[in-house]
Amino acid sequence: MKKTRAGLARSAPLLFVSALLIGASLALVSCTPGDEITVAESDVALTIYDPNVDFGAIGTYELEDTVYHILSEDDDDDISREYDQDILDLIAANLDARGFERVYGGPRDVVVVVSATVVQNWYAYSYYPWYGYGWYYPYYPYWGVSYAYTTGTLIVDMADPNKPNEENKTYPNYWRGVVNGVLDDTESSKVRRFTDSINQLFIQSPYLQSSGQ
Amino acid sequence: MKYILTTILVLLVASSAFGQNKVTALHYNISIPGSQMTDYIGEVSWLGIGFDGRWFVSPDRPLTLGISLGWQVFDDHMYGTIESESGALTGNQSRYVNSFPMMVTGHYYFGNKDKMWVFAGVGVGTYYIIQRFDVGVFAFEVDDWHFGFYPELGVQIPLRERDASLFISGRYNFALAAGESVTGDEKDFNYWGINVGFAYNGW
Repeated sequence: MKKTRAGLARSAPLLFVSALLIGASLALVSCTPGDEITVAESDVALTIYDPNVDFGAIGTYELEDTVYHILSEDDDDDISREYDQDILDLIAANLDARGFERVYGGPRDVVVVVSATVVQNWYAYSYYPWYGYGWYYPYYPYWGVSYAYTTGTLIVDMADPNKPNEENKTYPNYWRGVVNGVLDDTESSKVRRFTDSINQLFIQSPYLQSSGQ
Repeated sequence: MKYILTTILVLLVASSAFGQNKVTALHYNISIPGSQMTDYIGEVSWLGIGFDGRWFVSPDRPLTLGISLGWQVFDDHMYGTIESESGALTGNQSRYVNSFPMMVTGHYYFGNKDKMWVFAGVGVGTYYIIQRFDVGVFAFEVDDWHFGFYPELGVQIPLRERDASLFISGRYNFALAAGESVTGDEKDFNYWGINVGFAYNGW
């Protein structure tokens, strides 16, 4: 049926309301709050373990007294060592609190190795809600705000030096804790953040408990 | 999104140009996660829009066939720990689901269309769902086409202009599981939908 002029006039309010509805939806979308995370909110604590290992049977550990820096071949080592000792002490305190006995040389059940790496990344966010509030490396946003940030990653490994794999020249890794976060922060905040995150590694690993035998 | 809005506008205008034996509705949607979707997102979504085009199969039968398109954005933010069989992850999480239902529909109308027109029907088709999970500076994204359907019950209340009406309906969207979700398990993305908008109808 052909639309009459009167019919078009009657449906004009509806089209107008529809246009308003679409406009309102767009307004809602574009007003989605920019909830971009702060540097402190970027912290992540990840733990992975071998579920076949009886951690209760582990009695002694050796903690290497250095933090290894993981670098690519072309990188200069500019990772700060300012907090190395604090980090090592904190890890030792957590292991001691779980009943593991620290030894310095000689027989030990596991070796705990701490490593750190720093990566320059691009972080960007837009207000386009399809992708939420953030974008992520390696994609570059079509619009929005972007800035360079530096992430620091601390890796704590608990490996068994008594069971080397001669073929692969490796030791079985029983537990790995990873702390990751944006480094651009005040010094006091950094200390609080890495303290909380390292403690979190142990909080979320209740199976890390020596039976003391 | 631009294409979806363009499609909706084109369909709206096109359906206005053809005949009177149809219902065209544009509505704002509020959605509430249900079933296994609540494991991922529990927050009510206030961001949604939908379009329905319905054509009566004959002048003397109140039965329509049509299409339904929509877009719903869910988001939830929390700090917490996710545990798996061999580890755990703790951090600030942002979880998003974008659902795009694309349905073929059938509805039956009863009651007096000049006072209150009640309709009941179903939609069958697909939900294109994008899930995104952010934790710290990491982000994970999965998108899948989910087979799905919805039962719907609603009313059209005529406005002063009889061809225009207030459109109110409720749906339960069954978006069945389709492959691994962004959290690694298989889950459905069912949700309730409350739709309020305007319809243009004629006979």
